[in-house]
Amino acid sequence: MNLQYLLKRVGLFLLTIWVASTLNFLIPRLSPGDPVGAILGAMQAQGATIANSAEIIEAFRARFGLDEPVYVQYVKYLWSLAHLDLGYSIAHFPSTVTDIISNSIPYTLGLLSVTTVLTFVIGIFAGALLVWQATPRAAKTLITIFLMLAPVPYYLLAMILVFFFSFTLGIFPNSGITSPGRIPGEGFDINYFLDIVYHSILPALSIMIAGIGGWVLGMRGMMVTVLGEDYLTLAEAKGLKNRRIFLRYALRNAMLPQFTALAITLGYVVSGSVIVELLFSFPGMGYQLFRAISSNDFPVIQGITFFLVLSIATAILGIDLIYPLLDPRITYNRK
Amino acid sequence: MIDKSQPVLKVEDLQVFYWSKRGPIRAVDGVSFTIKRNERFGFIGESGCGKTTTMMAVLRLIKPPGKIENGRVILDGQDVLKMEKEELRLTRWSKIALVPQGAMNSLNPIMRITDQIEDTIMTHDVGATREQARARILSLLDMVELPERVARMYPHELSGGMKQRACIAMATALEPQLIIADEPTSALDVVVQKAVMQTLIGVQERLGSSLILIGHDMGLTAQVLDRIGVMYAGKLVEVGEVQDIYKRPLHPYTQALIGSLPSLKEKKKGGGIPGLPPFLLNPPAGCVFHPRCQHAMDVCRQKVPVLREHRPNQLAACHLYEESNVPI
Repeated sequence: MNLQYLLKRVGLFLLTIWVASTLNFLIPRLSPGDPVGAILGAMQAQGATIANSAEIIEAFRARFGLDEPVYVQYVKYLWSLAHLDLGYSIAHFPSTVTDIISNSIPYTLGLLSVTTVLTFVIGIFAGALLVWQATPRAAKTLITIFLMLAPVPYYLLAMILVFFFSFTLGIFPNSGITSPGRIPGEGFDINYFLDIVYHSILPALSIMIAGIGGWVLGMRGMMVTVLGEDYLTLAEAKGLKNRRIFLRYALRNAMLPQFTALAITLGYVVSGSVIVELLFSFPGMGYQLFRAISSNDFPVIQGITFFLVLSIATAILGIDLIYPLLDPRITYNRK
Repeated sequence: MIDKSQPVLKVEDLQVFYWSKRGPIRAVDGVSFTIKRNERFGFIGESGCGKTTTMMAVLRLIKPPGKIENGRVILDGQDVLKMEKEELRLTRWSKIALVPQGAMNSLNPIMRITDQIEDTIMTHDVGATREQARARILSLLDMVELPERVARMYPHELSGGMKQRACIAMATALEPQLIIADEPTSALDVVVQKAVMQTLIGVQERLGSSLILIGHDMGLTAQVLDRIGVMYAGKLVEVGEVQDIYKRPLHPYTQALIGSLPSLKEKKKGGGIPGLPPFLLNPPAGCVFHPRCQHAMDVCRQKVPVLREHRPNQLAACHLYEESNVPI
């Protein structure tokens, strides 16, 4: 890999972030809602009389810098972004956006990175086994069931899971991230951690069961192509063991395009899984995003969107840079 | 131990069908032949005549919808078609190796050449350590005139000729008694073809193994082969020594095939064979060649001719030579 390519690729990465941030700045300002008006409206609806509403509006506008010309706002916005200062939440003033994000991101990352990677690994193997002639019939039937679950929305699965495992059988909790009243002990509290894992099992299952089918489908298609390749026939003629042919010659080659898809999916992880998090009252990024959208909390929406862009761009940059290690046919040396 | 008195390979009445919705397509129908020790045997015939299918059946690599319907494939005294899975796996490559038709696509694109040969050596458990295997790979590459650095390279970094040489090196890794080379030079340009063929022959002579060469380039094969089998529409129609096949072919199909070759000595029109090979879902009754044969008789439309010795060491499946219909 040469330096020139690396610089070009990082430059593209920065450009992507800049364009996305600019759009992120513009779009909320083009929408008809006004956060300050919305807050006052909500207060009025609750029966509060607001005598000096005009002054309050002005005060809010000044506090959030909305009274300045758009280009000044823009420059200030970029400057603070560069310092990862995302401003204050309007709905939960005086919490900063960074606080909100940093409080919820560990839950989301923990839940979604584990489920995404597990879903990927299971889906890849299942998809490959589905078209491998030595796979037992029972396994193929099981994989086909996952395939049938693919079009079922994950929130529907979540509700079914809650109904069976929580309400009917009572094995798993139906919501929350810890048992009520539980607080972490000093340092790393293993029991507290295990409690979180226990509460995460149903949300994780609902995401995974619904997600596996998609990977199975993609992998099955690639696997059929690879199984028809001459090098697979030759691998068999060489007298290699079935397991080695499957892993090293078929699966390894068929999964290459899936890595790109995995990178993008991993990039999306920080946005959380809005509906699953809501259903399970799981305080992750998706939950925060939902709350921010419903209260017109622009800074939080922008902050989460910015994080999302940053993480997707990073994931794609990452996969681009490690791809030559996965597939030797791809190099970044100049021809 | 290798019993030198036995032929390397004896195929008897091999039948391979590809099953379609409308019935079996008789890709290989009743083929029998014997490959002697050290000999170079060639199969010729036009595309789709069953050459490659026959070889894949010998390796038991026929995939559905193809199926080996009948026959015996006696390799070094054992019937390949009756072997248990593990026995078959261990037989492959150690006794019978393949130089594939498309060397371009026959190497795993994401494995180094050395790793693709090494796994073959190691899986056959010949008692070699990895270091010994690697040293052996370097000497194999040297034998096929490839530089040492090729070992660490990936297939896409090699030219077509180099890939084919790498495949030859791979085929000889376990010193098999029989090497099947399926059109090993057809994807290469003419200059490289001859060099690769010479390498293949050189390696085969050094190992003392037998070679089955499949090809439709009759000029190139004629120079290196001992015997030739001519296939037409899933049947072996003539078998004989190279000189006999070229100079005094018996079967009308062989005659037409030889007649179609361009010659430097005499100016003549390239004589094609009128008509097309039959569709093997519904092959013609009697001799499969009779619709295109200018000597076709009544018996040809009714009775399948048997491959029989009509001259010393020259076999043909043709009614012309039965019951002395025509003086030889």
